[in-house]
Amino acid sequence: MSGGAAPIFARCDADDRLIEADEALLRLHLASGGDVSGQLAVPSLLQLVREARVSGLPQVRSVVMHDGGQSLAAHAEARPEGDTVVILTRDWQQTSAVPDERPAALLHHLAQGHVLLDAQQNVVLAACEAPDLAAAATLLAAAPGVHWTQALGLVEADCLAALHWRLLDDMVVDLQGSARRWRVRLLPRSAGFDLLLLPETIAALPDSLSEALPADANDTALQPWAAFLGRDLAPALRQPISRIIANAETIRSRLAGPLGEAYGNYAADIAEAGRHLLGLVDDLADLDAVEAPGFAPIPDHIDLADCARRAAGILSVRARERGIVVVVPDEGIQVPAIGEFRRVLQVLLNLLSNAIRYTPAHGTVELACGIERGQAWLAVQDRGEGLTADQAARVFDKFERLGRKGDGGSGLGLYISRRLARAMAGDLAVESTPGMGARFVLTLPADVPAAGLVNAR
Amino acid sequence: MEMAPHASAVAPAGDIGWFTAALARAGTAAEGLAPVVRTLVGGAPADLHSDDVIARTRGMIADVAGQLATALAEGAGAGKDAARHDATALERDGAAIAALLTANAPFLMAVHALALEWHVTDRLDRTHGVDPVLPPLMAEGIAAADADHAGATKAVLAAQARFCSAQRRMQLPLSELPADLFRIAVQTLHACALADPAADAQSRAIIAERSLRLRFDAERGRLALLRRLFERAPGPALWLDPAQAGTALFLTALARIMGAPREEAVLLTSATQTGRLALVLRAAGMDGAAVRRTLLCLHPDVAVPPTLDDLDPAAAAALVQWTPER
Repeated sequence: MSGGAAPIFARCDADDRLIEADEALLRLHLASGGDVSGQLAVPSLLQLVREARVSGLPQVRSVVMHDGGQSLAAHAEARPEGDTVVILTRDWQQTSAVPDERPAALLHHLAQGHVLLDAQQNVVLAACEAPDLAAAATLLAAAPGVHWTQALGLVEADCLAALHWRLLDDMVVDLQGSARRWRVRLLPRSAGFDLLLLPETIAALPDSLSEALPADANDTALQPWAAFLGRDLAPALRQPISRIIANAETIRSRLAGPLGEAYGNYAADIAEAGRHLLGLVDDLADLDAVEAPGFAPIPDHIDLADCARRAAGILSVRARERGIVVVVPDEGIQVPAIGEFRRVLQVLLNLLSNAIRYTPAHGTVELACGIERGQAWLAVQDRGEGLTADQAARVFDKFERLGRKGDGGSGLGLYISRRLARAMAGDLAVESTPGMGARFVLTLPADVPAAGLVNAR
Repeated sequence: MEMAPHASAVAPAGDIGWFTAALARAGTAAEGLAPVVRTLVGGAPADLHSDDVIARTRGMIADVAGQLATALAEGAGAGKDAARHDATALERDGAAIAALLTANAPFLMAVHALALEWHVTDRLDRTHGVDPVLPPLMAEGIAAADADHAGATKAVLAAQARFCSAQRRMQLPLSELPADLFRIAVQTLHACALADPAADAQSRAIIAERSLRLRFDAERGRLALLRRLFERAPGPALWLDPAQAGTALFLTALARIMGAPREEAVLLTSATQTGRLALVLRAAGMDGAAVRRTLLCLHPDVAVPPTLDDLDPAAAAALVQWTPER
């Protein structure tokens, strides 16, 4: 852009939020990670705006702004006007991005565990900062002079130890005692290697979670047959059952030619029964997974409101078939929480499909969520018969069907859901009065810093 | 009392005390100007005040201030997570504490010495391949048959690994401060609380101090461990070769033979101090070749007079005007 062009304009309010902007600046703001009408996200301009506000005087200087790939230099002026600050920029020019001379510095900065290795990749010393690396640190400290893959007890460590370090660099591992997954980076030093452990999912666990999740001592001894069903039989059953369903659907939809009405209905029954069987097999596999010792979901930053909207989207066809309206949280609502997205969605799908099943046709199911006292919560309210106090006490038990038969349930869904919620340091509870419907509430640890940001907006 | 710059700028007009303080500050700044400009312009080696060293010093002071501000917030009863995220209060307290710490000359120079030490450590790694954590002498130490010595070496090794990580992040954990600097940090905490108009400010500072003291153990810091390792080292003379011993051991040994604080020893690694360093090493009884080797390791382009061997150690000691402690 030439020097004679009109200046590119923007305006910030008293909280540094961008309230007006020319397109070029707005695009830069968005590319820097800003939200529309959120806080100005271009650091060099934000600094200028703050200086102008504090001093009450216009501030002028050249600034460098980064737009993902490239750097832009510009002449910028920030001028206070009442409560707002006006930004005028001129002479935008591309500058060569400064190449990162030593990306290793960044890795060192992000690492939460640092292991010194000698030239044979054997452990010399470990220094771990993150509390959930304590168990791994103990393992490493107990094994000086041992190859790090063996010291950490990684699967197939013997094969790994024989590999060149470049092949081991950048691998992702599960470490004993940590709910998070870790990325291993190996950086050669003069006399060996720096092994850096970088968190793969979430940068920091909240204090309440940072202790390693205690292994559930009770109830982990699976009955042999259940373990057999879940671990060995379920995967083997899944494929033939899927073929039964697919073929029954083909017959029902008469894809292979005309067929009598009655036979079509039989095929529909076969497909439906097959789906129930598949659901049972999946439940048994899940049961095996959640009851296995050492089961730990991988925590990440999630948005419960978003999960609720997705779950409602997935089950919208089933709800429509029964004429049920599912009320979801508004698009603008965010409820930041810590949990594993896939598992939270699994719990919500279970709760919502139950709610749709037990609410009378043309009723309403309501999903609501929020944050209270460091806990994020999500409630699924149905308009079914509701539960008595006695039923509510039993509803989370394994294989509990509350006397219902013939609807294809396994009596495992809520049991598994509660196990999942608790494994993520949350809980699943029910409040109900007979005749008024049931309200299942899933709680998870709130994502405190993100919640602070949301509330500030 | 020194306040954060933006706080002093809004003092009411007509406040004579504020003007006298401002005039004093202006006077000090102007007075020191000529030598500073001369050094910066004159083309002297810039290692003592290179951008890297200055930025690192500033970063470490900001980090210490941040930890103290967090301790203050926790003293007010905020939980760990909450204290960490009340960003505005932390930033305000942190800036005020950082200004106070920077005004404290002993604290500033000690932190500057650490930045300089890292600068030398990093340079030796790049030019001579001396491992920042595990120099040859340390590697020997871990493998030593004497279990006590191997244990002490390991403790130093762990501390040095922490130091390197912290330096790469321009951080300085409170637990790494020597006892005297820790005391200054705690006093700063109270000074900051005195300037705070809040009613509970001082009780917060007292609670913060108590929890900081509970976590602090001067004997577990890197510098204390290095000193103890030196005292039991089998061949302390080896420590004066930075290519073998690494910067950390070298500087501890140098400070001990000088009988001076470690900060002064660090200063001698500067390119402006080569003559003095040569005399100090000669005074400690090193022969000319060893002195030359050490100096060339630190400054590849330095010229050591060939007559150094002719200089008697006592004469060298007299030249630098101190008696070496043996």
